[in-house]
Amino acid sequence: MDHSEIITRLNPIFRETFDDDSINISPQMVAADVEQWDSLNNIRLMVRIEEIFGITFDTPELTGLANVGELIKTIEGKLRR
Amino acid sequence: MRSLQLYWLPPVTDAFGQACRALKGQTDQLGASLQLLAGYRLDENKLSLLGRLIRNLQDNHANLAPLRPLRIGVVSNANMDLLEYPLIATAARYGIELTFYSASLGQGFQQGLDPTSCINIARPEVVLIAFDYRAFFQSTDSALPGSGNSAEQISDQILQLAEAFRRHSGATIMMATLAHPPGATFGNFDRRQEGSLRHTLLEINARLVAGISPGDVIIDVESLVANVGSATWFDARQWNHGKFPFSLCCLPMFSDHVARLLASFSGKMKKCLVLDFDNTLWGGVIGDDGIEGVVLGNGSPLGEAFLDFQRFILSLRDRGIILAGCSKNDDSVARGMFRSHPESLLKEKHFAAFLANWDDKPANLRRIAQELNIGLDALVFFDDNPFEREMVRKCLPEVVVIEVPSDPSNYRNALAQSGWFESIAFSEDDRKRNEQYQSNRLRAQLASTTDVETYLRSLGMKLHAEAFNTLNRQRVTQLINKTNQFNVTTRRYTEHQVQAFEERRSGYCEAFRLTDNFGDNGIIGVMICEESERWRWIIDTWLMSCRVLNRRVEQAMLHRLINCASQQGIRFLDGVYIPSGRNEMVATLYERLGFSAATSAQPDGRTQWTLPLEGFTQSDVPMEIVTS
Repeated sequence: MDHSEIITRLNPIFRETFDDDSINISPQMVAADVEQWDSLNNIRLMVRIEEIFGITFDTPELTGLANVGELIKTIEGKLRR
Repeated sequence: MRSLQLYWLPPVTDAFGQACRALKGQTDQLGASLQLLAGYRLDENKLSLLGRLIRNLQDNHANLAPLRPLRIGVVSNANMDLLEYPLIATAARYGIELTFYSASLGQGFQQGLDPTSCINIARPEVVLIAFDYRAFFQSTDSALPGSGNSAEQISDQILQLAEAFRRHSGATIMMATLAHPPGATFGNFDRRQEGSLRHTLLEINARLVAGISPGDVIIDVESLVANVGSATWFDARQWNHGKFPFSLCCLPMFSDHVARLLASFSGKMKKCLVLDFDNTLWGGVIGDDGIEGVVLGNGSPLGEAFLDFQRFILSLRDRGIILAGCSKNDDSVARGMFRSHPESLLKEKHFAAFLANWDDKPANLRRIAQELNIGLDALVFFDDNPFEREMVRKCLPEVVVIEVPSDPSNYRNALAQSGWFESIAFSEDDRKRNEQYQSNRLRAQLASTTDVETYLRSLGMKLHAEAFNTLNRQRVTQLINKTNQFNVTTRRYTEHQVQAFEERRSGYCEAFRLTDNFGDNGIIGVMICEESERWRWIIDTWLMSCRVLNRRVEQAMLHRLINCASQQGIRFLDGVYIPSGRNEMVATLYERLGFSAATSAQPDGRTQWTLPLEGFTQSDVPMEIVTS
């Protein structure tokens, strides 16, 4: 799965988790850019991504990723393994 | 993962998000639409979506009837914030409009002990106390006896908290047992070693179950986790990040278990299981394959699956769930199967209603509800045929339709794991219910042969008036919470409140039991009066089970009340009728019984009535009134 494919699959997860259909994710996007992206919804987002992509994040990755770009890279890495 | 899914609910379609959005502009039938959407197999994300929507509607004071409003306080030593929206959505599945109050992390004990805490002030009907073992066992505790907190200390602490909430908020407590984590210190030996984590948790749970008051409710998280698997339930990462007590993927299942108990608590539990026959109770089609050809019984794997399902159905019947048959068949062919098949555990006599014909199923379900005198919303329909299920869902959205698995070996679990028959108590009346419905049919047959008055006299009815007491308290509470039709005020009371009536010195409260030549109908009526002013009683609650309708029992109840009132010098009886949308049948009750209108109808449709007791002459009733 390449970069753009991951984005295509991620975007609906973001929209559903944050209940906001105007979201269009980009690599530079950070939590502060999305109104509903607080720590509670962050854990919902990450668990949902795990389910959909069939991967597991390590404890630091659950909250430690700097932006969506890093999230995509992490997913990519896990899918390759 | 199957163990996490509510697989007995119909799968959700892609249109779910759209349907949610469409509700934002809707004002009509909002409550019913929400309940319908909540009835699907929703994951955590979709439940949160729906729950947030309901919460917004509540904040805007939208009318969510017929959902029944209920307040819950949630107390934990873990983070329960993510429970709010999924639980609100799940409660709608069971016909409840939930308002959620929770204590901040670690504030449980202060919330309970302080009468002015936000949970106590909200006066919730239910307080859920759900603790996580991890907050009790800190790193300094070792697994050896005599060190750290003992089971007794911990359970006492939790039970005292329950008592504090009971006292300060009047709530019924929903007490969660503690989940056991996977693994052990010693290994299997933990089970035997006092002071080990597993040994301690088992003992805490036993003490919690034994220690709560009889009117309270247990939510058996320990058993739920055994179903789901503790390795799935516990997610150490989520605990370490936000003190989330269990993995988010378990939220739909946990919420469903809380909500089904709330439903049972509010009298929303289902009463009757309606069963299809062919390929549901046995393999094959009786009309085509004949008694010799159908698959049922020991000796074949599939036959044993159907046998197991029948056995489970009988166990539901034994605990008071009414059974009805609804099958596209010739009546005689279907009856022949139950009469003659040697391996069929289910017999004709087990069905309180038996409809085998060629009419469509929605029509037959309506007939069943009518024959048994219960609402369509008290029915659960189980049919292997997806076409029939869809038709019933479309035509009768009030009826719960179980999503039946394709493999008959899974029928039993689909029914057993679904929450529709969840019960928080078991009374002698439950045990006898099916016989009562059956003798009703016998009475009906007798009635058709003679005129009503002669018939009623021939029944040998005795109406027993009894004070509220520990023996009938559970049944009285059950009636108060689930009687919809013959109920003048539809006021709901918890078991604790019923007990309070019992202990009160003024006013009046009695339960009524009806027996006749066909058997004991159990407790079928409740009356509660308040002394509103000197020499004046107002009827706070007057309800009767529809099983004994048209037998002039209500008239006899009034006679009994008047006798009690007169003995205490009461001169006036006041009554009020509050329309609930379900109790049309008692709109003219007071008028029929000789009360006169005290005021004209109020804007909300309520009417007020009064009866001067002086000079009131009692007419003859076809039963003897017995007092203890």
